[in-house]
Amino acid sequence: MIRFLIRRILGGAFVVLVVTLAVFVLFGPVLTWKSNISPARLYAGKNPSPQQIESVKALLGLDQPYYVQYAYSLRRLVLGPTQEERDRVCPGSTAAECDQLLGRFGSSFAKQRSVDSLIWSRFPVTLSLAIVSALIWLLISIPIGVLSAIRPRSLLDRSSTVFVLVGQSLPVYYFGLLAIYFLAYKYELFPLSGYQNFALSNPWPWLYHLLLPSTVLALQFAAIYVRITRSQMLDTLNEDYVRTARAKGASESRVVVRHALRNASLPIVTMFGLDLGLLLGGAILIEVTFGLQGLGALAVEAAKRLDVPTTAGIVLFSAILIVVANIVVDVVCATLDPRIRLE
Amino acid sequence: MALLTVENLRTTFRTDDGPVCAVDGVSLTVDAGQVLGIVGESGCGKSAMSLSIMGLLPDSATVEGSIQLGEHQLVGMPKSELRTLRGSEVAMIFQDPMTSLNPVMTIGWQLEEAVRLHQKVSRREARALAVAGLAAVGIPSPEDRLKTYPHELSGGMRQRVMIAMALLNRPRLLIADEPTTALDVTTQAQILELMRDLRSEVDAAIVLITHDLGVVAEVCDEVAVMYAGRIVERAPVDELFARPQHPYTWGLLASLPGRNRAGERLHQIAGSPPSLMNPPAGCRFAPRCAMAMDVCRADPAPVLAAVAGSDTVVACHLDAPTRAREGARVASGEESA
Repeated sequence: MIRFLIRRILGGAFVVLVVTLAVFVLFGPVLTWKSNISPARLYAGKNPSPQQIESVKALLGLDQPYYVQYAYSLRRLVLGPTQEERDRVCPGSTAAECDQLLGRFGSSFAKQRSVDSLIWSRFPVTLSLAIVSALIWLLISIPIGVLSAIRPRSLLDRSSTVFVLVGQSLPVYYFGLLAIYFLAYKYELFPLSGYQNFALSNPWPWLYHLLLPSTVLALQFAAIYVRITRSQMLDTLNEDYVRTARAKGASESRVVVRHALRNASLPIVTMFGLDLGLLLGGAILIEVTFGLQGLGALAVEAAKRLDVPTTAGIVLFSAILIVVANIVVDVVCATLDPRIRLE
Repeated sequence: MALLTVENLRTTFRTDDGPVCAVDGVSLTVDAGQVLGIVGESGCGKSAMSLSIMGLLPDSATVEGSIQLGEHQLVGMPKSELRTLRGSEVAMIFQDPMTSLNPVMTIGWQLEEAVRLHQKVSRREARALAVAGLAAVGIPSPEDRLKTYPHELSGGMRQRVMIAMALLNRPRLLIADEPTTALDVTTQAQILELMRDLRSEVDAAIVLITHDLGVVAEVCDEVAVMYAGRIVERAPVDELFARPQHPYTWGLLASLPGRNRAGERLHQIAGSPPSLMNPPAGCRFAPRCAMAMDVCRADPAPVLAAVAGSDTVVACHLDAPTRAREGARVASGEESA
């Protein structure tokens, strides 16, 4: 298992390395070459003189050859900014002050802040949204999927098919606006928008603000998960070992939960991990619809303002999250199914 | 008194194309300590019959007739009550050991579960019983095997585990549904030997379902030959091989490889089994029977009747001398009619 884990982590690190290269090339040379966007010019402010641009280039290290720039950015990503970089970008300030300005992902063009501090200020919102909606969609879809599989063609199964169809067809922004109009505006059951920080002493305001967006987001995912759970369970319930469990005299609920569900859960776990990883990179539509200041909303802002480092930072950050999610999924699957550990 | 008495069992499946009667009026008895073989080709209703006894058929199936196991009448018994008998009074071994064990649970977990579903014992005691069970079926270092997963064992080992699991609660009836079919020939022999040994140790009645007459000859006391949902002949095993009475049995015996001369094509029974959705009138074997007469193709079908001077019963319209003559010819290894 340890060897399995090490191999997966090394593989993940390699993927992240490839992504850093792709992000660097796309947001550096390609951007400059294709659309004539010069990072130095963007950073320098309105109508800069050529001298100003040159000094910005020197400040950001943009006067170096591309491979040197990439090596620096890679070192910064892994080890954090060096003292030399700190002295150059924020001379005379303390390390803590400088961290606000310069981070592993670089500095924002639009705001006088490091991309790291921007991401970390938004990430809790996105994380909360992802966790709450994931809980909701799992709690809805797994029981419904299992029950539909146990009684195929029953009333429950048929109504869940309709639910799946509706959930998958309704776009989040449309359904979200409907929910806001009726549940938040007309009947004032939920806040219109916004986010409250999580507090351990009283998590209710946090949950209260998240419930509506999370549910809207969850319904869309729940639809898909009902489908997979149902089909996986149907397949598994026909397996010989399920018949063996019945022949042993196990109760039907034991057969379903202990014998079938664990076997059926592998594809669900796999998909769940990837979906969660994807969501943690920002749920743009839902964040914008519900006025949540999460990563997705930040990405939209940054892209609008041509804030290249922030956009690139979010892309890289999301990619790392997905790689981590993949590793976690692999480990969970290997725990659930001993055959996977063998390769 | 017989341990298992099945009377006039009818198992019908509801399908989209109409009802299919997989088992049509089967009656049989098995005593404790006895091994009854049930032979027949695929689709003749052997598995449907065994699953009827286990109560493991899907909801689309209806079971009529009577299945008396000791003091329990299994037909019409509430599901929950039937469940308490499954795995304790009656246990089953399945055809494919590669897929019959749960791939994500250890052997130990699965064995202990079987114990604890029916006996109020601690985990430690269940473990001890599991170890003893594995040792009884000839698995070396059973303690270590508990921690292994099914995919780490060979097919023969897995079938041994299945047998051990079935016997853990000392069932009075053991149903083995083609337990050696999915195994290679050497492993088959080992498993059969194991079943022969266990026969004398556990005082259970065994119903062995197979399409392999060689297996029947090795382990069974009595044999029932099934064709298209009905029993056509039932006889003590020696009788069946020495004096087979039914034309279908002749066909089966004549198809055995060892009985033909080398280099010749194996004998085969012409035609294929009838559809159970719409079975032929009269004797169901008549369309494939070389000796069929007009009476065979008309209702009512022949009923099982005792053969004079033996314990055999047969359902055939042929007269006794003809059956004796043809049967003797097949038994001696000559080409049958």
